[in-house]
Amino acid sequence: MNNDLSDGPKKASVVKLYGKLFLLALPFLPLIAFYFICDPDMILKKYRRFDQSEVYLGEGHVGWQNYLNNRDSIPFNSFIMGNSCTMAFRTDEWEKYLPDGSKAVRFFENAEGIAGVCQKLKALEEVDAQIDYLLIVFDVESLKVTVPSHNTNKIFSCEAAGISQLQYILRNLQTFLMPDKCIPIIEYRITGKYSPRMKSQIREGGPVREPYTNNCLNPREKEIEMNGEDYWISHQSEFHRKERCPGQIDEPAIFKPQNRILKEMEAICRKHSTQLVLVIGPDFYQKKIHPSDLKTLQDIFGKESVFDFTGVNPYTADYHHYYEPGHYRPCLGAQLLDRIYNGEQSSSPSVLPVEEISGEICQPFIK
Amino acid sequence: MKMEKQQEILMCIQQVVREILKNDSIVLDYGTTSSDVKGWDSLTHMLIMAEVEKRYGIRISFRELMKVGNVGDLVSMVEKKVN
Amino acid sequence: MAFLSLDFAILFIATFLLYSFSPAKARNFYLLVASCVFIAWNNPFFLVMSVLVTAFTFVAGRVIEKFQDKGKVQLIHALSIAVLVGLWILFHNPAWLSGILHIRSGAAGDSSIVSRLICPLGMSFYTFQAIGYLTDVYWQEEKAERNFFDFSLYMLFFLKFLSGPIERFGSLIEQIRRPESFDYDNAVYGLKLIFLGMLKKLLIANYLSPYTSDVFSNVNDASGLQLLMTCLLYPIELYSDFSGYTDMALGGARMFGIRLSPNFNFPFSSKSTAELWRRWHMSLSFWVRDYLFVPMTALLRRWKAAGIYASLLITFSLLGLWHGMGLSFLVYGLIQGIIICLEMRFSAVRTRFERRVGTRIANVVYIIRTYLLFALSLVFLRSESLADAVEFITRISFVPHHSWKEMNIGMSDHFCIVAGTTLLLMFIYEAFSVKHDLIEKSRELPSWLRWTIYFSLFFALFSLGMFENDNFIYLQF
Repeated sequence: MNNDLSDGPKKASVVKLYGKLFLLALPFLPLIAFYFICDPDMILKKYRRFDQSEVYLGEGHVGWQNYLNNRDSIPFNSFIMGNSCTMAFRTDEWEKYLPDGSKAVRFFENAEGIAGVCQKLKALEEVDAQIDYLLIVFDVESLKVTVPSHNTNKIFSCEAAGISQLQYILRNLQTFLMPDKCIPIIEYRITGKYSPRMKSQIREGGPVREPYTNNCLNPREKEIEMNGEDYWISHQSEFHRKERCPGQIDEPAIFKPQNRILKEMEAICRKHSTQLVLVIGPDFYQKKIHPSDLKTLQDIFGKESVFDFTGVNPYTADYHHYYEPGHYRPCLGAQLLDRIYNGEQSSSPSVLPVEEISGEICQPFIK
Repeated sequence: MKMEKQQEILMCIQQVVREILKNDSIVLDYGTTSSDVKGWDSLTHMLIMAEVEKRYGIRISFRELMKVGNVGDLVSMVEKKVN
Repeated sequence: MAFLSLDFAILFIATFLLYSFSPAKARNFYLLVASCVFIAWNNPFFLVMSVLVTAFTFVAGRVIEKFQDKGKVQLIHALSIAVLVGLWILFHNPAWLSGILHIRSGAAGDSSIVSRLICPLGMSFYTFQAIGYLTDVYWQEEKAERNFFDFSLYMLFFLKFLSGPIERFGSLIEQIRRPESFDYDNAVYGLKLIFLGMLKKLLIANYLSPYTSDVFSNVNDASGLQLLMTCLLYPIELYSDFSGYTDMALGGARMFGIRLSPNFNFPFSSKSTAELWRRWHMSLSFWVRDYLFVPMTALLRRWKAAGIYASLLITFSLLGLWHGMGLSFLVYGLIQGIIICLEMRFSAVRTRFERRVGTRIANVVYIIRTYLLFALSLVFLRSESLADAVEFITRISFVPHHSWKEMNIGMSDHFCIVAGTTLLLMFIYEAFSVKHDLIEKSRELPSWLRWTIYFSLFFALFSLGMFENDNFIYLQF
């Protein structure tokens, strides 16, 4: 039946529909309002400091914005890039080896791969960055990644990702709407009190980064300061999850697509006359990088730029160098930098044959 | 007479359909349509039509073919053309 | 304008708002205006082109009807079809177009007229509608339309303009001639259907697409295992994308009281390729059957089985070419034709097999085989060139570069879980839909349950939905 709208009931049914739609949208409206007012991801405005947020922020986004918004006052020309192991390399430590006046900044992403670094380098090029010195920190896993992550929280710049500003905001808003994200954040904002179930979204205990340099302030470092050896005793389960594999060689990681990306990176460095240091970090499990991978890296970037710290060596032998198997401490990072800039010319630290240092393959770990 | 003639045509068509669809259990009625018969689809339809034409030595135009809705229509059309 | 964009949402909402508060008579006017805005939005040329074709078809229809009893009608019909097809071919071949217009065709960044005169949006779809209409008039199945505005809406209706369904004149024009005013049940049904379409598109298709695209654009770099997984997943991605779009189109139209034809009928339950094409992209395959295949089989019926085979091969080749004027599209179509011919030829083998292993097992085997063959043929549709497609297929294997983890072709576990769960739910929903209209049945559920489902799905859609990929795969055709 097809009566026209002169009917009262017809009008009523129209209103009923819109009423129900409004009801459906109702729970989302306060969430959306909260997002735009409080900007928990720090993406809606330009910020100069990112150290004061209690919310876990996208590292790539922070690094990028930190660079862009501060480069007029700080002449950044040196970049620490790569994965989260960059936390071991402090900008002040690195600047000791760079010419006076060099200013380093950390611009990384968690679980970063070569594709992500390449994308960031291109973005830096686009904004006419001065890339005089480059310290890239990888492990073997990073070498495998051929495509920048599609995840919203890993997008550092709309232009690089090929999306519009609006799309970027909407995607972040969308991630925010997940209850495991928005509930802890809103609760913390309202109550101001931290509780352990918020730990995936809210960090407690002070800033995790330094402003302007973006160096990592790992709370575990403070824990070690306070507790000493007890730190490793209380965290030992993290160290025992897998067995170490001294003497084992990792499978090859670099194939054609990786090759292409590495060459693109090298081309950018060459164009900017960048002095590159590429570090393959000391893997706690002591697996050595495959020789073909190492050779490929050396061929592309030059032997003098590639530093392989994998396998069995004094750096990987001592568990005190590590917070946990995935990340090593700045004290080790400082040693590595010293080795890089002051050490022998060969790119690998002398790998002691397994038998000779049987006592030192790994320091006996307290059970 | 007419009824017998039509019945004969119906049986003939039924035989054709059985042969082409390789199924001797098929039974056709005046009201049967292709969707009622398993296997009678666009792939086999023209095979059936061509065989019916051949058996009766007639030619059905495309427009007429399109107007066939069920077996009864086909029977009538064949009957008309034969006379 | 893409379906899942803010622009479209605004256009649709505005049109619906106007419609819901207006008398029935006004509906067609709003829809026509909205359609013109929709088509012209990205490039006014698209609107010009579609209106020209509409006008041409309208006039041709009247002429055919006028000359119906005179000898020339066949010629007129053939000529008008030739013009339509010719135009279509022209615009799908930028090289020819620039040649004719004596313009050098685009190098990258060329802003010449040619690069702006790219293939008009929706041309494949409305061209087919036009050809179907003219043929229906010629066959005297339909009377030529006398109302140009009604006819324009038939051709340009924005909800089916982009990627179909290809509507038959008879069914759609009836609904246009009798506009309905706002109806609550239609609106709610339509909204639910739109919503389902969005779930399929945003939680399955868009999850898979960046990863399958990576593999399709870099065939040389992918490992055999990655190629295998991509090949197996692509039919699902295509189905979710296209049936999601179709659901949104049908749902949107339903909100205005118009019922468009469905495009899919649980295609992956098909036990043969012939059956698949009765369940996949139905508006296209039925069109092709009625306007190409059946006339051709009638023409070639003296050749008996050979006539059917020839018709199948020609029809499916043309169906392949409709997707694009390239060799790989032709191969895609040809493969379908060849498989169906073989199915016909060796139907006895199937019967024997079924008798040997029993119907149940035979059905499972057939379903898997149909799916695999379809997946392989789709490589030709999707690959960027014939050479790529051949390389893709020859290198499929179980061998990874690094590890078995490559089976996820780069998708994280979270992605796999979301897409996988939604896929499972979709299959379950569609299996049940075969017997019952679940959307209708949902009205029988108690209020609290219905609203819980609405909120959870709504929530899942907006927090998990991958909105980044606005375009639908069938947009390019």
